Parts: sequence; structure tokens; C-alpha cells
Amino acid sequence: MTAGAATHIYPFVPGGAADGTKLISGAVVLSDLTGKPCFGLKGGGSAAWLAAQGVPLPAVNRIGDHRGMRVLRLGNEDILFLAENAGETLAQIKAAWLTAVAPKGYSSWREEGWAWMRLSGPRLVEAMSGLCALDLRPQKFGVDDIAQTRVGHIEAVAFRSPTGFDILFDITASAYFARAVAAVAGHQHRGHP
Amino acid sequence: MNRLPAPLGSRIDRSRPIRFSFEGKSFEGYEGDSIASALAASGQWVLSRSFKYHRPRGILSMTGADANALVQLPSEPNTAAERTPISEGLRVCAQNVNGSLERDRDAVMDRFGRFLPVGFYYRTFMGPRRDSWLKFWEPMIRRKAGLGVVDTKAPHRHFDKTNLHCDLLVVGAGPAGLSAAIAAAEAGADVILCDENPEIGGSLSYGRYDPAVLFGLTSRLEALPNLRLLTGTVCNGWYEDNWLPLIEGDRLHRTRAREVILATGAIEQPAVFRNNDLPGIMLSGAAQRLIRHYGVRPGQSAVVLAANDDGYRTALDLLDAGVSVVELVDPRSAGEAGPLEAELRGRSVAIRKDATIEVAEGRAGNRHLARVRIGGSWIACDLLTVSIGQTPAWQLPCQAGGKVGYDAGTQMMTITLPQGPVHLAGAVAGTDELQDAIASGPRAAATALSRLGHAATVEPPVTPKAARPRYVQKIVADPKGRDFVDFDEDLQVKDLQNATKDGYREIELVKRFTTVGMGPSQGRHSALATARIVAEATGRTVGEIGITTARPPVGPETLGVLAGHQEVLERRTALHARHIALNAAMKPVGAWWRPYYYGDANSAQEAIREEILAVRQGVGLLDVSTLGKLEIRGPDAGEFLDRLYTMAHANQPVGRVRYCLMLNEMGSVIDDGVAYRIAEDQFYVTATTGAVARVYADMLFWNAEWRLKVDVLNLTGAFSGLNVTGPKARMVLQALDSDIDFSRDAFPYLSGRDGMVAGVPVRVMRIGFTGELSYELHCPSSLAPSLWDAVMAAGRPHGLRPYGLEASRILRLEKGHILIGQDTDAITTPDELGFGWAVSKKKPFFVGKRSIEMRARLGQTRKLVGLKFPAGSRNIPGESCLVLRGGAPVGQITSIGYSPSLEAHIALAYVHVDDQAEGSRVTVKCRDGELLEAPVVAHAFFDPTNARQEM
Amino acid sequence: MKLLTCPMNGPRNIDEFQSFGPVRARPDPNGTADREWSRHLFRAENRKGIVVEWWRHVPSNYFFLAERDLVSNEIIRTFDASQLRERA
Repeated sequence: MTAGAATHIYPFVPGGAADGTKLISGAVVLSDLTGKPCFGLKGGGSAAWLAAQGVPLPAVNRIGDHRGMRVLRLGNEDILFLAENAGETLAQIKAAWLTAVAPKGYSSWREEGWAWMRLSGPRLVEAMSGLCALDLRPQKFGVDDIAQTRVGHIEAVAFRSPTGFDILFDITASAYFARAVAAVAGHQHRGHP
Repeated sequence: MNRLPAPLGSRIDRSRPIRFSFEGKSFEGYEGDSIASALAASGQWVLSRSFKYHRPRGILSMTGADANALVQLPSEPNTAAERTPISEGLRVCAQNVNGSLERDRDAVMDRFGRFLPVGFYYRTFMGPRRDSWLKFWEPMIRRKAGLGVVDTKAPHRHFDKTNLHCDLLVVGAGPAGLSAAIAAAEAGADVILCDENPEIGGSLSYGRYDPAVLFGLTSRLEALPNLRLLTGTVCNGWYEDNWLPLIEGDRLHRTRAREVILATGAIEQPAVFRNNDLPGIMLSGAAQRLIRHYGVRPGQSAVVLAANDDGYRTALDLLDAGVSVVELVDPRSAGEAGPLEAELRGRSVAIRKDATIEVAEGRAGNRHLARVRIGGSWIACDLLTVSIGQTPAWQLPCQAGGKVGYDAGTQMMTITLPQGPVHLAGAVAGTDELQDAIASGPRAAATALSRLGHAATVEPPVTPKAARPRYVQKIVADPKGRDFVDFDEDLQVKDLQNATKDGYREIELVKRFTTVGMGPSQGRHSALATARIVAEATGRTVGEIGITTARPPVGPETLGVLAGHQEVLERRTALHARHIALNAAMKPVGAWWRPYYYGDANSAQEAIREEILAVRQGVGLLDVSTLGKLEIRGPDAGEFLDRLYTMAHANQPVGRVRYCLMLNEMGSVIDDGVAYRIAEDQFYVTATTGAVARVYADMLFWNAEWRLKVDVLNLTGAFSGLNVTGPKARMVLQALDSDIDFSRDAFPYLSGRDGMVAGVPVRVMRIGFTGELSYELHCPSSLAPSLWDAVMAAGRPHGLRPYGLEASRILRLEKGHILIGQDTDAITTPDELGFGWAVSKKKPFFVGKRSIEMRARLGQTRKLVGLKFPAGSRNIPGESCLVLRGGAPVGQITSIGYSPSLEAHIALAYVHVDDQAEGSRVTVKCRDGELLEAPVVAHAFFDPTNARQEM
Repeated sequence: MKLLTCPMNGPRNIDEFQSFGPVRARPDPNGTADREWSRHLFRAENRKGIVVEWWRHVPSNYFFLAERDLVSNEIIRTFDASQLRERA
């Protein structure tokens, strides 16, 4: 399955499902990266095929790096590439995978199933402590750690980005998530004028 | 005004006066005042009426723990006047009064006390009828029973929750807690220190101690960035694995601590004598708090009851505050005079040893203390401070597994914690002197630090100084009563003695029979006296009696704090904005929002009818993206589905679509959908919207046991689905740019194709659904709007109409298609649905197979059939209306609706198995009780031969 | 709130997990009388002692096993399902 000429519409673009929902900015900033280059493999054969392509695979729940892409190991056979600034490298891997013969794992369709959002801003730590029950203190949760947990009461994958936290979650809950973050940021604001 | 000059009054800001009212009367206080302190400053000492006898009550402890000082705010009942700050214009009222606080008509109860014996409720409200309690007595008692009034129109408040993590949590910022937190933070640990008071210091903030001690601790604390201080924050419970809720106003910090030090201090105990509840009689800590925190003089002329140094210090504080101390009574026998005693004598205070307060008397209506009797003689006074002993604040330690004991040598309650991550420091651990408390902090910190892996020297516990036995008041019931043990519940000594005489000898039983310790103070001021009374009455020791189980929460908490703020979960399909643009009436279905119909509310019925007819006569388009979508991939995919579903899938050819029906182990139907075999090792399976989360989890669970070579992927959000259906559906699809041959022969019923439609990669399945020619187009969600636009455009010449959920429901009902969960319940078998055709007889195993075979042998009792109600029926039953046979219920209507195609109401219903034949007549009981007869018809009301969907 | 240590994700609040009940022997459906089969379906053992239970870490959909003391509610250890097979 490769897309033809049709336009991709993600939740926060005009005509998207969350169109009209405001992304909070200020002390807490929520930005949308959904639609940035992203590709994942899951299921038997995924890890072996990627290893054979020379992709170094990190341990489960750790993040590795491959030619400018972040490589997230979400399970033994569940690997996700995020290529915010390495779209071409990702396209190469994807193209190689599409033409390769099985066993090569299966697409995990994360680019369609997950929203990818970034939380940052001066009150980031307080906002995260309102959204997530996990111990995210720097000494406990490092730059290459992955938390598969709950953020804003929904299942999510959270990890550090240079400016804050990146969060992956069910794309159909995008508008909800933006509201949940705004509500938490509002409470923080009320509590600490 | 009873105000004392600065520096007394550490909490108040005299430059900011605040006006408020109490019982409709205007009062003035200062910023930082609590309701109780501001009222006391103006001479208003009565704050409430007691629970049972409606006796005037006032400040007892100034800690906010007891019922004496609970008041009503406009939108909040049961507010602790001793802790709640005043604010401009605040309207405060007394609770539990019939009339007003000043003139309480129920005060007469005080004279009828003998008609309210202990266990009164259990004895009295048994009759006359079985429901008398609920219908008569309970509502009446509730009106009398001292609870505040909930304001159901209270303005919305913002509550929120955060999560905190730390190496060490220290509860209580008194001398021990402060020293512990500082020691741990100085060693590098990440520390949180919380205290319910607005300032740190605990007893250092109000007791008669050298200010340099608190100053020294404060400056060390302020130098520690890794020590987070939360004042005004209540630690309201201890839960497993050191999980502690810290409540800071309207915010709940859910705190996970690796180690915990409880420095919760001690609770001063009242003395028991007749009229010990009069306003003006307070614990010495209350007097000291009034003086130092609020600059309020607690009385003019005081008697001090002191059986320890704190009482002597209080006497000195009173003198400094300009209170005349008439006499200090020390119930201990005369011994060596300490420095405090010498100082008091030097200031001409009369000290009487070996004596105690025998009885107190109040002014008219018992509104304030007037005099006390000591050694047979009366002494006039308006203040009596009581300092006769204390108990460790056992609530949190006991929740954390601590055991309460009693040291017969020192006559003290003790707490022992098991070895583990919770430690005690200070008065709660039994320290008595300030220096011991301060030393106990770092000792507890060292133990915690070493458990955290810090190199800390754990000092051996200091051998306590030869501890002097504490004074123990001999509790004897006053012949005239009103010697209160529990102020909250108005329980007197004889009440507890009578309970033991009635045979309630165990403390938990005494509690339940008498309600001792059940009030707001939760036994803080009554547990020790109760244990002593029960011990005395039953000839056992206090240690043998013990105290009742302490459970969270430690103190009352607002429901809003527990609830926090929660946005309502909402899921939207990728086509949400398309629906809105088409003026869809959106309706929540679980978390999803779906179009119910397209059009204005005032023409809803017409819109639904037109949508239905569009599908039957032309072509319609439905967003089915909320359907569960699962991809099963791997060499064992066919085998996996064979085990999970009732039909055969291992032999299903690639490119074919099969219905799939899922049972649980009990053989009940739990889900259905279709499975499209995309490749030898790949199936695309749909599940019902509401069940997919569970189906997905169950699939993973079964495979955790089976270990087949499959991967299950939940594509529910990643893929969207468009159902194009109606006699003209094929024409619409053929008008689209596509590499798929949609012709009848190339793409037959129950087959599936992958390809491109309008530049969008799709998985297309031909299925039944509405009973018309139906193509279901599934595609990656980000492309669904493009695909929708293309289909809408291609369909325009053919009159294509988007249709909503209600039209879809009726279209499916017309075909007799079941909805799992609506037409099935927890025990529905495939046979009851007439789905024998969907159950493989050849497969050796599938989940539920063994059970449906067994259940078939038990005999079938009901069957889901179609019912058709004659056109023009006056009365139409609703869903869940009973189907009767011989007057007895045998089933119920599960779905019902008006079919515009058939021009009649049709329903699915469970009927007796013997009535399943077409033409049988069954009786249905309508909502209003009318019995209606309806004929049984075939499931598929419309097009029973299914010719239309297979065209 | 209790902690449960997921072998894959580490210690987490127990509300991140879903319990799937004790590991039970699955009788051969075809070689079991109705009476025993009903027992298997509807009667749960609830003896004092240690049970091995299936748990799902919901955010990661990882299934694993936990040994728990039914008296003290202490979770003794958690492990991947592959270890159960090795023991069996």
C-alpha cells in the first residue's frame, strides 16, 4: 500500500478531526508532530530484518540512533523510527522494506495510529507531574529511556526530546489530549501565580 | 477585644482587617486569622452545639480535629473553624442547631439525657414497622444529627492532582520532622517535608521554647534545594508501597516515597470530669496556639491543670499574656520542685499538688466556664487549661502497619513499626523533651538513608533516660454525668461502662455499640480514656484492650479532591470535520462521537427516513471507522483465528471474507465481525466498536498461553472505514479512479481486494451489513478525508447520501442483523441466535466449543426471533419489554424500530423456544402494562433471500 | 496504590495493569465430563497460599506472570511467560 496523489490530513490541520482545538502555548507548550516521518515494524522477523540492514537495535524500552533517526524499541519485535529531521533516510529504509521478501516483519502503522506531540515550556515538569504518574526525575528517567505508560489518563509512549517530552498516543484522542494538557497547565497556573 | 500585642500573633497581619459574619452577626479579624481565632478575639467562644445534648461547645484543641469547632460555610459543610482562614465577607453559620446557636430549641435535650441511653438507636428504632428506620426515624434523626448542609448549587471549584516522587517523605515539620528532613537532605537525598500547618516548627511555633532553635533549623532548611517543603498540606493516609496522598488545598499530590519518616507528634488528651466540655475549658496547646499564632488572649482569669511541664509552661505563657492565673493544680503528688515551678512561684502563682478538678460549672445555659471545684472548694475562672497527658498520633503509623501497645512502666501508649521503609521520629515515637525530639530526627534519617544506599552511620537507639511514669487520671463516673469522654458523640463515662455491662467487652464492639471514636476526631481525644475505662470495667490492662483499627483517611477530605479534574475522554474519527461540515447531529457512543443523522434537529425523523430510503433505493455512505480493526499476522495466523472464532479460517482462501463469531469459555457470544484474508499469513479482522479493546486484550492473553507465531496489531485508530451501500454502490465505485475491478464476477460477495481508489490505498470488503450491495473501504486514516471526498463526488450523480447511526441501526434491524451486547446478553449461545451455520462442526477446538456442546445437552429454552407489529398499532413496546408465556416472562425485546421500507415496527426478541416458528403468536407486555400479541417472523424482515446484497 | 514490577517496564502503579487471573491447568475439553468442565468454568480455587497470576501491562500490552501471596498480598516475583514453560 503506497499512497498516490491523495492528501494526508492529520488531526490538527484544517479539515482534520481536531481542527479548531487549540494547542496550548505559554508556560506549557504543546506542539503537534503528527505526520512527521515515522515508520515502524512489528511482529516476527522485524528485529532480524532491521539488524540485517545494519540498523543497531537498542534494548527494549530504550532509544537508539541510526543516521539521524531515533530508533525506539517498544518490544522485542516492535521497533519504531522517528525521523523528524531525517526523512530521506527513513524513506530509504521504508522503500527497502516494501520490496524485501518475507520474513521482514509487518508494518505497525504507527504513522497512522499514533499522534506524535511534544510538550515543552518553562512549566514542563509541573505539567508532566500532573499528566503522568511515573517518576520522570532526570536521575530516574534518562534521555534514552522510553516509558510506555499513561499520560493524561490514556495509554501513551513518552520519552525525552531536547526541549521536553515527546508523547505518542491514540490518534483518535488528539483533541481530547490537547484539552487534557490545557486543563492541567491551567491548574498549574492557578496554583502558582 | 482579646488581642495581644505583637510579636504575639505570628499568623496574623494586623494591617489587613477582614470583616465576616457568624450567625448573621458581623465580626472583624485579621488576615491570617482562622474563623475560631477571630471569633475568640471578639469574645465569641461558643462555636457549635453538641451532637446529642445540644450543649454549647467551643475551642478544645485549636487543631481542627474535633466536632466542637465544625461550622457551616455557604457552600461547604463541616468546616473546621480552627483551621479555616477568614476571608472578606465570609458568611459562617453554626451547625446542629434548631433555631440559632444562641437559642437552640434542642438544648432541652440536655435535660432528657437519661432517655437517650447508650445504644439508643439500636434499642429504639426497631419498629413499629420493618421499614420504620428508613422511612421515619432515619430522616428525622438526620435532621437532628449535627451534620452540615450540602449546597447542591455550590460554585464549581478547580481541583487537580499531581504525582510526586521522592527518596524520603517526612510528615510533620515539628522539631523532629524538621531535623530529620534536614539531615537527609544534607546527605543528598531528594526530600519532601509536609506539614498541615501554614508554618513549619510544630510545637516550636507555639510552645514556650527558645526562638533560636526554630530559627537555626529554618536557616539550614532554606539552604537545601533538594528539600521540598509543603506547608498547609495534610498527609491523609498511608497506602501500600509508600503511596501517600498529600492534600494541599484543592490539590492532591499523589506521592510515592521510597522511605517515609512519620513525625506526626502527639495529641493532648482532655481530662474527664463533670462539665469538662464547657467553652473556656481547653487543652493547654490550644491556649498557647491562640496566644502565639493569633495574639488572642484565651481568658481573663485562669486555672491551670498541669500534670507535666507543658502545663507549667502554659501557666507562664498565660501570665505573659496578661491572664491572671488563679491557681495551678497538679494532680501528681508533691515532689522536687523544678525550675518551672520555681519561676511560677516567683511570680506568685498558687500551686496546689495532689489535687485535681472535680467538677466545673458554667454560666447560664452552660455558655461559658464560670468556676471549678478543687478539693471541695470553688474557684471562679473563665479559662481552664488542661495538660494531663498525650497519646502519640497513631493514625498514619498504624496504617503503615504499626502496632499500638501500652507501656505499663511509663503509662504511655507506644507504637511499634515493623522493619521496613517507614520510620518514626519525635513525640509519635515517645520522645518527651525537645532535645530528644530533635535528636530523634537525624537518627530516623540515618536509618532511611542507609536503606536508600547512602553511606550513613546508623546510630544505635539511645537508651531512654529513666523515663518517669506519666500521670494517669483515675476515671470515675460522676454521679450526675456530663463527664464527657467523646465530645463528638456526647459520650459520658457511664455510657462506656454500661456498654461493657451489656457485654460489649472488646474495643471494636464498644466502638460500634456506643459510636465512641466515630465522630470527626476519630478517637483522637477519646481512644485512650475509652481503653482505660474498658480495661478498668473488664479487669484487663490497657494494652490488652488496645485501640480500634486506624484506616485512611486520617481526616475528612473533600470529594472534589479525590475526583480531581478529568476531561471527558473523547475519540474522533478522521472524518469528524467532514461530518460537522455536513451538519451532522453528533452523538457520543462510548468515547466515540458519531453522526446520528445529517440535518437539523427539527427534521430528524424525516432525515433518518430519507437516509434509510436512500440506501434501499440508491446509495448511501457511512463512516464505520469506529469499528474495531485488528490485523493478525504470522505463519500461524489461520490457526490462531481457528482457535478464537467459531468458523473455519485456516482453510479460508486469500481474498475471501468470512463472518466471524467469538465465544467466551462459557460458550456465550461475545463478539462478531468479519475476517478478510489478505495473504497466507495476514488477516484483517473487524470487531464491534465497544468490544474491540477487550477482544484485542483477550487475543493477546490467549496467545500468551498458546505461543503461536502470530502478531496482533490493533488498527482501530490507524485505519478508517467507509461503507458504500445500496443498489447503486457499484456504479459509484466504478466511477472512481481505481485498479480494482468492482464488477460482480470479479469481486463477488464475501470477498476482499487490496488496491488503490482515488489515489488512496484501500482494503475493500464486500459484506452484508445493510442487506444491500455493500462495499466497505478501509484505508489509512490520514487519507480517509480524501477518500470520503472522492466517494462523495463520484456518488453525487447517483444521489449518494451520507447516513448516520440511527439509519444504520434500522437498516441492519430490517435484515435481522444482531448487535452484540444489545441483542445478546451474558448467556446467549449461537443456537439461541439461530447461528448454528456459523459454528464449525469439523474443528477439533475453538474457545467455547466444549461449553456450547454441553449447554446444547441441557436443552435450549429461548430463541431470538423477529416480531412484526401490525401497522397502525396503538401501543408499541420498548426495548427490554417482557415477552410472556402463560403469564410468565420468557424473554424480552432487544431491539425495536420503525422500518420505513416495511412500514411497520419490527423488533428482535427472545421468545420461548417452542414459539420460534414463523407465524407463532407471542405476548409482549408494553411499558404501560398493556399486553400485545405479535406474530413471529423470519429474522430477515427485508429481502429474506438476501438477493439484494449478493447482486 | 500498590506497585507491580513489570518484567519489561519496571515498577508501575498497579492501575497500569489488568489482571487475567491465576494460571490454571486447562483440562482436555474432549476428555472431561460435563461436571468437571463446569467446575473448571465456574469454580475458582481460593486457597491460602501463593498463586501465579497472569497480568497485562496495558500501555505496552505485555503479558507476564506474578507470584503473589494471597494472605499478605505481597508480590513475591514477576517473570516472563517463557520462564513458566521452562519450569513446566
